[in-house]
Amino acid sequence: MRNRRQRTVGKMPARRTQAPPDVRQSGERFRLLVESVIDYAILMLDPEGRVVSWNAGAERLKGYRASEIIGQHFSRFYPPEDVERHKPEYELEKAAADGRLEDEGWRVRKDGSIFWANVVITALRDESGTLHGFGKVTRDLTERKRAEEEIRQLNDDLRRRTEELTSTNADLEAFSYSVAHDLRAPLRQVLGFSKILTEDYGPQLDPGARRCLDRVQSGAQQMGRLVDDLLNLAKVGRQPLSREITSLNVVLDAALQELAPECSGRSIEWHIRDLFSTQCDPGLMKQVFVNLLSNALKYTRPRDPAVVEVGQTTGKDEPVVFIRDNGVGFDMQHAGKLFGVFQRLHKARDFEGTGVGLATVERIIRKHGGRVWAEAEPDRGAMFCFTVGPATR
Amino acid sequence: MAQEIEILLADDSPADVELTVRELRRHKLANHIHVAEDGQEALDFIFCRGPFKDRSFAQPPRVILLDLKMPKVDGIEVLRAIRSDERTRAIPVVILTSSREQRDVIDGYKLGVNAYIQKPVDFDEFRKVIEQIGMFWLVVNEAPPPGAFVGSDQTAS
Repeated sequence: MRNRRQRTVGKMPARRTQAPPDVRQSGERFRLLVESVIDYAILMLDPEGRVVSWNAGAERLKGYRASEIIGQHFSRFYPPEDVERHKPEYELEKAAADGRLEDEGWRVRKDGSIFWANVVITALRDESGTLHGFGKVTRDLTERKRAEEEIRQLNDDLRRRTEELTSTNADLEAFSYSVAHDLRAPLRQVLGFSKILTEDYGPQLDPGARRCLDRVQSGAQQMGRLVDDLLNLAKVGRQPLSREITSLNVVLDAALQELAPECSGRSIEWHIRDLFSTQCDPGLMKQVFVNLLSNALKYTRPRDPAVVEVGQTTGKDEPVVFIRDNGVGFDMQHAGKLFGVFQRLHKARDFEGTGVGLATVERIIRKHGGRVWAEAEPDRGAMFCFTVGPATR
Repeated sequence: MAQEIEILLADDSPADVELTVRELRRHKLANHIHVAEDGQEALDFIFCRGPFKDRSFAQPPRVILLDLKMPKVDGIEVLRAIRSDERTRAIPVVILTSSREQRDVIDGYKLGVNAYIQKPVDFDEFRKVIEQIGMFWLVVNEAPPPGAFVGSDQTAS
């Protein structure tokens, strides 16, 4: 600062040599500072682009010693194709015109190797506006560039893999849908013709033949339920979530209404507490409640009264919905199988089912970004818990 | 005069055809029914050509029950042909299929199908559905009068 003011006062260059010792000292310190910086190449060019000064950083970065580079044209720092396109000259013109130019690009070291550089060229003018040359500060950003490249590469890989997975997933869902779908037609025929046989020829059949026909019918009916459940599971996977702010109380009421036929004639004690509202797909959430509650109803069938409790607790980050019953429960040893497709923990003779209900629950909850888990003890009831996202008011 | 066909049933599954016809017959709704075993045959019948060249456009079926998955020409193509011709456009068409594929339902309605019904797997429900279809289209519904089948250019003059 002082140095510059000194210069504005003085008109003759000779005055500068007569500057007071502290000014000379500060100029010297400044020169030492610039020369010893090793992280940046700091150099000066004359108006034509020849190197006038060279610091330690420039030597480290570009590989030339001051003695071999001073007086050389700075275009040798550029790759041949840039030189051909007159980029060095253009950058000087631009810096001269605008006062400053910033650029990022490949630059060449003495040994021919290249590095990714950030370059700032500043035009140096005196008070009258005469161009005295340029200051050039260069940073080596090769590492950053490489990291960026790597991130881009990783991102590309990730995107490609996500695309592959998405399409594989879609294929699988389309496959399970069409399999389930194509199974319906032959099933209808098995059910239809065995029913016709029973109706039209029943009187002519002996009891053994009728019993066989009953088995055919109930087998086909069970398969029909399986196919419907599988279709439903595939549909859950295929259809996009339509989230809206939903009161889980309302969803629960709708589920209870749907289950009313299953409750009739049974003695059931309901303990239903207030639930929260959250962003979710109301149709799918209703299915979660229907499936979990119908399980609670099914596995409390031997109880009189059955006790089913629905409520919420505060989880670590999000509220947790729980559905607890006093039914037959299960052994936690098998809990890992609970949410798998076709996995059942009870004999069909004791409790009917297809093993798709909890898999559907799990898929819906997972689609919402939530978690579902269960705790139980044989003969001491079961509790199913799930999260579905933060509560909204 | 040949007997008027009331129902054209286009379905390639003999078992489904038998179940359907049987149910219609139970309700005395199947006196005049023609079964086409694929889309090509259905088109020949509807457009009075090939083996059906002696049929007349003046006697369209009261309703066409159309399966979607059929060999040669599928149900959607048949529906498209019916709806793009002035002589057949007004014939009531009911898609009766195993598919509940969203795409099929949308395509069907976009092409102007009169109803889209999924064949239930459960036989009792299947029966109920067939009976309802027969009752509705042959008994309850007012069939399109002959004027509905004349080309729009002719009605204008």
